[in-house]
Amino acid sequence: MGIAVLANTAYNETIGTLSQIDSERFSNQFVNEHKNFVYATALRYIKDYDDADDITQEVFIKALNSWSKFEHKSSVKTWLYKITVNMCLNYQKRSKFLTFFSKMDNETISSIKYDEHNAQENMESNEVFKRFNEELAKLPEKQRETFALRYFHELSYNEISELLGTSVGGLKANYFQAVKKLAGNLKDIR
Amino acid sequence: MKQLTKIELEGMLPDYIFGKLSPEEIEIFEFNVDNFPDLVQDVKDAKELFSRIDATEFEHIISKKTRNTSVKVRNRMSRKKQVKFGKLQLFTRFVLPVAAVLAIFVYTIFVQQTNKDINTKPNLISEKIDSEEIRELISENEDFDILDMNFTTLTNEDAIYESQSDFIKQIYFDELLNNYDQILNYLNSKITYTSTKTLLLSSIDEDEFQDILKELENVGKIF
Repeated sequence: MGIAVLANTAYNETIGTLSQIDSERFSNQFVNEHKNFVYATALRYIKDYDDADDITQEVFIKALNSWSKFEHKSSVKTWLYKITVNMCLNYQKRSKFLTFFSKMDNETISSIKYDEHNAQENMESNEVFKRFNEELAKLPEKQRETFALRYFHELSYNEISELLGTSVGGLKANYFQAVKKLAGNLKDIR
Repeated sequence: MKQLTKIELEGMLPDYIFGKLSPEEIEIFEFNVDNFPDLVQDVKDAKELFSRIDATEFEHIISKKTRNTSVKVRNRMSRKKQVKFGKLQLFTRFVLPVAAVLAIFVYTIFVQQTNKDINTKPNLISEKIDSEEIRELISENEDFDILDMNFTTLTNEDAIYESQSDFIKQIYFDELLNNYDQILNYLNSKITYTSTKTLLLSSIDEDEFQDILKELENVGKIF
């Protein structure tokens, strides 16, 4: 059975009805199709590469385990997005709680993580990517998410509206503001 | 040509820059945008920036980070399956410790309650024997010097026992002898009807009965 056929079959069935081998194939195909979307979303919220990777894995485990409960009322992407954002928010709460008890400053943690990452990024010559991500992270959440979902993940305004709970008109305004701010703040790489 | 407001043009601007508008929409946008010089500048700035940024390149960088995700997910899922508890493990790891903690908790509460009951139990002697009554009894006893006693302490059981325990014992024995018949009848009824394992008066032989009488006489000599 070809992967594409399998995917079509699997998307209409529950993962529990597939054989062990088919189930593994479906899992791989499902993860490979959406991993960049989930990882990029987690990275925007968590701002740490290792933690975003960890959350990405947890998102897929949760999604695959609860595949039978997915009612296909929304697209798989919007479903995954909701799981990812929920997990990221829980992670942030947990981090704040742990930081409070370990008396560590949040900024210290993020600067350490960024420093570790800087070396890797410089090696990869991704300065533009890094600068862009930094500026993107500074935007208000609605503007940042609207921009990322539309620009990077090419979701329709209706899908984004469903995810963020904002009207299409409001989304367009957010999108414009995000583009304008990024253009203003990234003059050094223009 | 359709006239657009500034807000409408702002809403279309990002999609115009990223090439997401239809040819018709592009025509309308370009026709109207010239009326707003600040928007023209925004278009120019955004185009400059995003000409340097390639979304597919970003996707490529993200792909590098996620290249092993499917393997990691599969490994993690299989690990989680192994970790899942069987019924016995669930019982030994969770149910037993919880039951033990609950038992300790209930026992602690029970012991505390019992101690509380003991501590709050009324002083039987001081309740049953009024201090005035004791004073009268003591004053009737010729062997006892009433001036040595502090009557304010007589309601306290310890004080009574410390100071005049022998005298109090004597009072009890006197009361016991005065009500000897009643007590004997009571004991007899209890022993006869409620307990077959204990001593039965009806089963005592002559010798044993004589021994008991001697013991009672000896007791009488003491008083």
